[in-house]
Amino acid sequence: MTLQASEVILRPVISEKSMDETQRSKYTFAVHEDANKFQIKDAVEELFKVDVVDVNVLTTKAKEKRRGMRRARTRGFTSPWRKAVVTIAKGEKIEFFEGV
Amino acid sequence: MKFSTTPAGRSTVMLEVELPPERLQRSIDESVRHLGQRTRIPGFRPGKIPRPMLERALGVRRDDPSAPNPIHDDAKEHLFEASVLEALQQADLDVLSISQPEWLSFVEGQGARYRVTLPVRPEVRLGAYTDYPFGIQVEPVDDAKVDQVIEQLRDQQASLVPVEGRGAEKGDYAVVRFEGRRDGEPFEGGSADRFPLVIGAERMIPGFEDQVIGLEEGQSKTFHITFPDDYPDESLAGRDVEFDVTLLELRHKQLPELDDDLAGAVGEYADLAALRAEIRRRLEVNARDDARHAFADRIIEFAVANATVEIPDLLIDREVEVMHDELKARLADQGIGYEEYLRVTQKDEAGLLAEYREPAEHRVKTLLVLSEIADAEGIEVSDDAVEAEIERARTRYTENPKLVSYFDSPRGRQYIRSTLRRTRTVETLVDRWLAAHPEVGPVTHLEGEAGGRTGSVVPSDAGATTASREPETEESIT
Repeated sequence: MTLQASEVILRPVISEKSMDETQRSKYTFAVHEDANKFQIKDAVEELFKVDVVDVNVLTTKAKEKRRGMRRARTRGFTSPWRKAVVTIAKGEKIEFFEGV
Repeated sequence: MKFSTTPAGRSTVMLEVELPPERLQRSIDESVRHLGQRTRIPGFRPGKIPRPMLERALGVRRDDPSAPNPIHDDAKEHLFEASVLEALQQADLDVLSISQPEWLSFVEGQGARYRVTLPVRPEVRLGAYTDYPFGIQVEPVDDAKVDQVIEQLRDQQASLVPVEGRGAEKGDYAVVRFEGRRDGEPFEGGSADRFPLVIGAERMIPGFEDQVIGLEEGQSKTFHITFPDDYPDESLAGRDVEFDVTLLELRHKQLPELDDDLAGAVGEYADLAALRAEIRRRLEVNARDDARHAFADRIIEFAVANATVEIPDLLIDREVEVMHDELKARLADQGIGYEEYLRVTQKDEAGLLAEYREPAEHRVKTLLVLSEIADAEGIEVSDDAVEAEIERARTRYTENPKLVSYFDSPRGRQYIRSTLRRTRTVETLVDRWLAAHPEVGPVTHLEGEAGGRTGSVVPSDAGATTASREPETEESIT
């Protein structure tokens, strides 16, 4: 299966941790659940015109969520998603994170 | 920080302040920190949000300076609060209140500038406040006035004695039983077993009391009467009703003889002459006291009319507000709703407030002028006098502990002090005039008696009613 670069990279992850890691050239993205490290590397290089040094991926598992009391009790799961932490070459930047 | 001041007319000053870039930056950083603590953004702990993120969350648009910017607003507010006080202190301005500034510029890295128009304590230019073109006028007490009081006393002492050998007349006190029928049927409120009636007092529907005239005790009468067209109960208005009336009791008022016994009955008086002498004395005291008050009021009017003050609008606005509150309190006392009052008097709130402007300006001017005269005359009020006044309030307003505790507070003390100071000022002016005009005779102020004015001239009434002057107004300007 061939995924387009824009299909691989879903959105940047913006959080305290991810913003902090940009200072060490590590950028975090939510990626397609079937994407592998090579696809992610190619996609980031294509989209942001940077050199990728390393890619770490992980899948955040679905978590059980409960709500309601007694009879109205229901149970559900959060969606699982795949996260990629991409290290790029020193001195390069991904502007997408800068403006925000 | 640089600043300049320019007078802007009507007792206001325009203050322009320029703030250096460093100070501006400090303030903005502080605001970012402050707002960051309060803003929640998913993925960030409060206070850990980078400024660009915070700006985006607050809707700040960097490319458009006119867009709302909560960070700048917050920084402006704090900068203004701190710097305006600093400037006022350095400029040594006695400002009455601080209004909203107008920001002329506010650019990060360049500094900021604002302008604000502030009302200052108005300068009072006193005109003549001595050498009045009028004098004190004491109303002379003549025998007719004494007689009038005596007549009142007789009326109070009158007894009701049964009427014998004649029918009811106007002025008699009757007790009647009556039953009214409309179309032959009794109606609600149309009958009573023992109804007290003062004949001729017009308490009943017109014509009813006239029908009772001439009846003797025990006699009955049946008559027709037409209710007035504007009678509140519509089922009766304009209707013809038949009444059966029985006169149960009939008494008339008998005034006591004008003799020494009357004097004894009224109080501890040996004879009529002693009573008359006492009444005359009290009337004279009252006349002198009234004259003194009237004279004092004229002096105030005179001094106020001769002085010039440019009163800033703010003070007038405040006074209008005070008067508005006073009206509301008065209405509440009488159990009238404010909305209802507006409807009945056919005014709206804006019109009412506009009507208050002129009297409000006059009141403010009076206060300012009196304070200024007090300054000019060097009139001071000692702490002891203030304490004494608080003590008096404590005994007088025992049922109103809130008021007493207000008087006891520093603000209340200040209020009492300035009120006392104004009162003393006027008293001083009056006394000085009296000293210069010995031919008028002594018109002493009755300081010992509560409120100054003795109310009743009727000796049997021990508790003199006190006509206390209304608490005047805002103490902050005095």
